[in-house]
Amino acid sequence: MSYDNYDTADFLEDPKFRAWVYDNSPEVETFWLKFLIDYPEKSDMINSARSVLLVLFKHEEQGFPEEYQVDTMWENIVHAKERRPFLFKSVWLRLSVLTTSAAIFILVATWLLKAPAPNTAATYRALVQSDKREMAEKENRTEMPIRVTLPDGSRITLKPRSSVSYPKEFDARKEREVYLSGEAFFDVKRNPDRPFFVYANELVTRVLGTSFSVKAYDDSHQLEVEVKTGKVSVFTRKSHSKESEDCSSEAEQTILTPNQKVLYSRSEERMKKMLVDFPEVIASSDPAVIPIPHFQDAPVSKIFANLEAAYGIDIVYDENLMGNCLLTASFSDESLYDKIDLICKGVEAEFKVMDSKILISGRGCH
Amino acid sequence: MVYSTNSSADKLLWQAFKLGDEDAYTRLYQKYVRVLFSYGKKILTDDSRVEDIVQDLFIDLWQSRARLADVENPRFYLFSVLRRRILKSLSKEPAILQDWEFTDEEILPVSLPEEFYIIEAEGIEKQKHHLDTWLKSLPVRQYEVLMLRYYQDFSYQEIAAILSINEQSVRNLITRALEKLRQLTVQMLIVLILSFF
Repeated sequence: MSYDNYDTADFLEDPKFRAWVYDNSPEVETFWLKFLIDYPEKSDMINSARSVLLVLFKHEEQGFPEEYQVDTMWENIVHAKERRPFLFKSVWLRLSVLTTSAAIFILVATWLLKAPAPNTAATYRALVQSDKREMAEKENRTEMPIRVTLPDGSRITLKPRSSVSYPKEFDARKEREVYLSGEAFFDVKRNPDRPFFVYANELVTRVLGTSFSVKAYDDSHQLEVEVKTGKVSVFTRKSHSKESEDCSSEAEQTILTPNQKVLYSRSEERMKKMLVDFPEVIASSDPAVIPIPHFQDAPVSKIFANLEAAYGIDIVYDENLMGNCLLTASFSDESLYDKIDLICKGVEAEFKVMDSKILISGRGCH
Repeated sequence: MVYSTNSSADKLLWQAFKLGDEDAYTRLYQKYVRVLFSYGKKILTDDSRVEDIVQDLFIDLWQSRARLADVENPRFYLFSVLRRRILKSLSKEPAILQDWEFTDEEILPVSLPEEFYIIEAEGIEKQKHHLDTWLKSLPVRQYEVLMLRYYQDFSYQEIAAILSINEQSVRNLITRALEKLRQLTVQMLIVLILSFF
């Protein structure tokens, strides 16, 4: 092959040349070093073609995800990849899942439709304006969630049509305060000396360091707080302000643990605690709370105890009647409700989700 | 290095994955997640959005593995599907789509940032900077084609299929990008020569 008429573009087009720059294998290396001796007049073009390839690589590399992003995506993929086929495997299962979610939906719907949101409700704008400090505001006008990092390093994932406001600098000794309109997930840097408050319309959420989400659109009838890790306390603005004045009102306060959420009806001014729609295993290093995938002839009480610990929720059942039923079961990526459903089928029982607990009723085994 | 994509090894991985081999699936992910992400980011810029699309792509891949064809080149398949999905997600926002898909590239001038004319040190540093400037000044389309051709080693035919344009347009885009590099090099030379006086 003649290289006499080769220019920069020809070198770029040559797979053997690209292999030299990107792969660095000994035989192509020898070839191109010899080439440089044979065609010294081509060294400028070779240099420039080489640089083009290297700068392309550098640019692509800059777009690579961080390793933690690679891991998070992979976790999400592993988590979701079996979900759909499993749910539709049996009609039975599908029916039971449908009834549970329908029950929750009806509950919420009736509550919502009862009365329109009061006009006197505390709104985001009014709350922000009443704060006299210098505030920073982030508004998400895109269709995708955006990330916001606060002055103390806590992170917020802000959903579309949502806004947060916070002091440009958090006072070093006082509480950290954030105002929210819409929906957001909070990952709060732990600091026991400086509790973190989220003001979202009528609700106040207080935490030390944890992750949780708050849903509070100005125009919706209900507000919602969901906990992923740690513990948070939720109270209404009314009881919060009363509390700070005379410390007497504890009535409208709820403590939430992982996999629990609270719904607040703006018209009834009432909070209701329940389980989240898709409970997840609590991230923990304690071996006692890791879900056991396989049980061989195990008493049901043992399986329930493991699920209670792994998901941090209460399962209520008659221990005398059912506790000693033996069961063999294998779990993989099923949801908590699917697991409970499988167990219930095994011991001829039924389950219900009531408030923040799972109630199981059965006649025991023979 | 990403470049050394042995496509027969990929083909075997693909076949194993189709039979439900989780290990093969994991390896496909590890091998391609970075370049796919990087490709997506060039068009979408928003990290979390690219994450979602790449994630969904792999989830759907697993769930439909039994129905997938034996592909000759899995890398080609992944890039094509990713790009189609990005376009689909963009089509919900017509404004952005127009911005990068239909911009008349001829209108964009070859503009040099001011610091380009400030001569400091000569040599490699400058050449790197010069190439950086060139790459950044390229319209998205031209950069995309250069990357797919020279970094990802796709053939003109494959690139045409990924971008749904004809092969000649792919060649034209590459020629135009390299022509711009040549122009910049000439301009830089003139500046260099002038700086001697």
